[in-house]
Amino acid sequence: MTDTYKPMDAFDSMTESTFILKPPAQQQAAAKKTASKSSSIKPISADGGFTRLLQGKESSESMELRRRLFSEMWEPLEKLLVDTEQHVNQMGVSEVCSYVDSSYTRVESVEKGQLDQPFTEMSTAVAFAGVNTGDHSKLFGSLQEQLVTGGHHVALLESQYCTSLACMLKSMLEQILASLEVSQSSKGSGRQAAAGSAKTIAYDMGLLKLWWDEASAGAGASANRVVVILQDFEGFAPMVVDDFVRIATSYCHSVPIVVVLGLATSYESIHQSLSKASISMLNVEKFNLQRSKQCIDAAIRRVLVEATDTLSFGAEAYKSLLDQFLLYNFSITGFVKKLKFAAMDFFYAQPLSVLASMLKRSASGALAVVGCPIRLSPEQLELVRMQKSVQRFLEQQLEETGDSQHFRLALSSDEYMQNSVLPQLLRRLASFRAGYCLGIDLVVALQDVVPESLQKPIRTLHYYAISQRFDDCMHWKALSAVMRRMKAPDMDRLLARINAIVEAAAIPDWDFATKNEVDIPLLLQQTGELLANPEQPANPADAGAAEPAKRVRTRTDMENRPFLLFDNNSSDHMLKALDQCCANIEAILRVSLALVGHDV
Amino acid sequence: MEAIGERLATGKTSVIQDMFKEYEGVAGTSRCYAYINSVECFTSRLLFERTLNAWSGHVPCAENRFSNYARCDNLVDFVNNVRDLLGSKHGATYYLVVDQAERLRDRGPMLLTTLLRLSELTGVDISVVLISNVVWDKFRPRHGGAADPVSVYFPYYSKEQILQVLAKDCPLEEPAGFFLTFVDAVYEVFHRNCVDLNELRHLVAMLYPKFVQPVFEKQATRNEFGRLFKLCQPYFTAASERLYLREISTSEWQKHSTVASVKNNPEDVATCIYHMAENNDGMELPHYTKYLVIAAYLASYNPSRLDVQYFARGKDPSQKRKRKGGALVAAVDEDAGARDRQQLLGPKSFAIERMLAIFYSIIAEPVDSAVDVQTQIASLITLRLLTKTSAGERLDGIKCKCNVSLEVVRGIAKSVRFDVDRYLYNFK
Repeated sequence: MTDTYKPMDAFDSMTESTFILKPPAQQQAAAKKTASKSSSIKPISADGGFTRLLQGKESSESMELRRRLFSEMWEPLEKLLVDTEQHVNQMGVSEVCSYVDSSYTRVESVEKGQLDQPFTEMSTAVAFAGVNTGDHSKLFGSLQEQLVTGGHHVALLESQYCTSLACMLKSMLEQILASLEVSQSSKGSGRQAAAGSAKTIAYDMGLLKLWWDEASAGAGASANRVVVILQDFEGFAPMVVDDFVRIATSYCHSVPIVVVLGLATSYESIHQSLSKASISMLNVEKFNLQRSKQCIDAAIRRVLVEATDTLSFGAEAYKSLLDQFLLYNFSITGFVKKLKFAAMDFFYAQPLSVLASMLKRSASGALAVVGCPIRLSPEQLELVRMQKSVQRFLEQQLEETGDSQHFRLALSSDEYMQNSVLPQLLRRLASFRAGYCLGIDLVVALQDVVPESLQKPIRTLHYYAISQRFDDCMHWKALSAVMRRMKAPDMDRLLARINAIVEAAAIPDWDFATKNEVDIPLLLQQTGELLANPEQPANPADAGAAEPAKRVRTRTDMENRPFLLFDNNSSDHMLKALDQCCANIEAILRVSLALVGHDV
Repeated sequence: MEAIGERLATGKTSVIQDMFKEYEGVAGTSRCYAYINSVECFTSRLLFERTLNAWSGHVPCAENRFSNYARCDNLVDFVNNVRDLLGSKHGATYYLVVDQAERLRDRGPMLLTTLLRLSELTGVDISVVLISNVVWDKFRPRHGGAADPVSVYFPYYSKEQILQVLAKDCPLEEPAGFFLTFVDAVYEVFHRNCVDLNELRHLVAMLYPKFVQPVFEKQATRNEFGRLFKLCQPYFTAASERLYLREISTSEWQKHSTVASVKNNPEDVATCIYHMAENNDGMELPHYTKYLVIAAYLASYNPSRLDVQYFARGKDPSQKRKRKGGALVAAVDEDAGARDRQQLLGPKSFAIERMLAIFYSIIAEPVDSAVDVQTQIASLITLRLLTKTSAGERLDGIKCKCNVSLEVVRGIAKSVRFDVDRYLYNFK
């Protein structure tokens, strides 16, 4: 081989043994075009991957019903989750938008002796967005959307596309010029041709100034801002951001540039990335967009507590779902994905998921049992009988009524099982779900009047409620202990709140839900009357049972441990009334959280 | 010519720009000088094209489709274009002023040399002025060939000069003598730490309203300087710690410092100022990520030879507790290597495997999902809480450093009820 040798093609090399052959640019572009036209995920089959279960014995109607139920359940649920996330993030996003709107406007201060600033600082919003970086695109995308709606020119920059200052400015200017082009075209100006030629010229901040001067020349003093969002600040090379800040600040007296720095960690990272000289040029205001926990709480409330006809998890499955979020990544996207996997597992792999079609919401919002649109096969009914909860229910009925005929028919007759037992079971389930929502609302109301250290988020309350019985849970006991120390006015306020919640609750038949054990509305009414008039007990039968004064003042909590009574100035009657109120509220909580609960 | 000032804000740029503007007016010629900021013109092409635009008087606009005078991708194009543009204009001298010229040393070996010999290469009278904080010897091209510029040093201002500059910021309605007294006090307090004139001006602008506030609130008169300084003391303390470091920004200071007033309670002022710096600054991490950060910190600051003593799960818990006692181990070596403490030396690199071993040792409950833990390590590197020290392409034996301060780690450890101090070797 001579010195004049030149490799002719990609394989013609003596020094490399591995070859990467990238497709030509034209082919790549064509492939991208094709990919964008076609959907990214192709359907596995016409049935969306649903197959007949029970070793292929499941009817095609049943399979089709599962497919339809999954689609009917998941699509609104996904929308609900997206809406919830947007709603929770809305406040933080609005705060940043307001800041951008008011940036570079001189605020008249009441303070005397004010001096003019020696130099123009660049308005900078530092948005703490949390470590769940996977969710940031959605968050900052929504911020961008809102700012664009407000008439600002926005560039959303990601570190992966801004590895150098040139790439960063190019990306920024392309986005801003595109937005300017759109606004100009909407005004009917004839500057679009010049915008098209921007591709041929060098991208630097001077170009932005020229564009801005051109754009704002006709419009006069414009309230619009040029907003540059650095979505993942920690991902940018420090030198690149430092230079960008230096350049941008030198133009901010002529172009109103506002920078939004999206931080996943803390303010310290700004000090680590930028030099002192650059930081001095920024007029920083901090915003908290870190609301993943609030998002997840809102999602759990709406999906697992309130929305009674969607998914329902057992304690272990729910803990696994929550652990992924709390222990590893705070990712809402990950949480939603896991939720979808759970829904898919239920509808794809469980033959009894067709029973979900029997639960429908009525016009009043209450959950009602309607007939199953298809007949269950003997195999499916056998599976129903094999459920432990069904076995417990039937055995309990046998014990209570002694009706062995009913028991025998339920086990032997498919017709009887489908027409009589199954609707009964589902009615219990519907009642439990409605009552459970009420119970959680009551606990939240009770939490509002206890010290902050005792308050738990709804994700934890839900876990306690599904994993432990009421009398075993330490948290309920702690709440109850605080309630027993309440004074009369506080108890009155709590009762009013509980009354409002119970009135708003959509439980069609209290008697069935509470198995005639406790009439919650009546009990609440009696409690209210007792508190209003402690001298006369609501139940005349109690009037004769005068409790000794010493006993009234020696209180015990749910575990029969004595505790100090703070409200010692109250009369014995009032103390007794308060005691009765506590007992009644505990009874309501116990019934609503369990209702017919743990045996469903 | 090279204008050098070893400190910021010594007036290099403004003096030279004003001088050239004056010169243009006197000489009656225009477009004879081009001012280029090297940070802004981050490529050679931008530098060349802006220079040609300035010398030719060309302004990109919508009419010329925002194009420059000429496209210059390299030095040859630039020299040819300069020759074409200015070759016919005899008698006039053209100037190229390059601010932050030390940045040019990273733009290839020939750029600086060519610029300094531009006059010879083009046959046009061109003078180049370099403005820099760095002395010429530090960015002189190594291969030689560049003509040495004439150096002009811009010394830092004396106290009298600084006070004269600061006095110009006095508001019209305020007495100049009173303002100067305040400025003098600010200079005395801050001049040891703050040498930047702009920063001093910023501090004066932030603190003066607080200084005169008691006068308007009828708590003191303008003659009672001692009392005024005493009342302003909390603001001075906050400024020295937070405002100068920009932990509190201008708008935050203006917004929140008016909430508290010394008239009500001076302690409230300090609390309010500290609160505004800490507001919204919490870093919330997932549970296992917190333990990973703690493990990384321990791996970075503890010697690996003591890992067995600190983290091995022995059979006898009482022995383990004895060995764990950081104070005991530290006491042995306290006299020996106090100056070589890792706490003072900074974090050292550690292998990821070692960090994981510490992580699995300190965490109370068993962790089974190894994939998620590895993902978290990657996230920590992305978020720069860990700094990767091994080569980027290396897939095994990755080494990292912990990039988190002790205060932050203590906060994280406290949130998971982990006593990190017990596991730190030779820390104070």
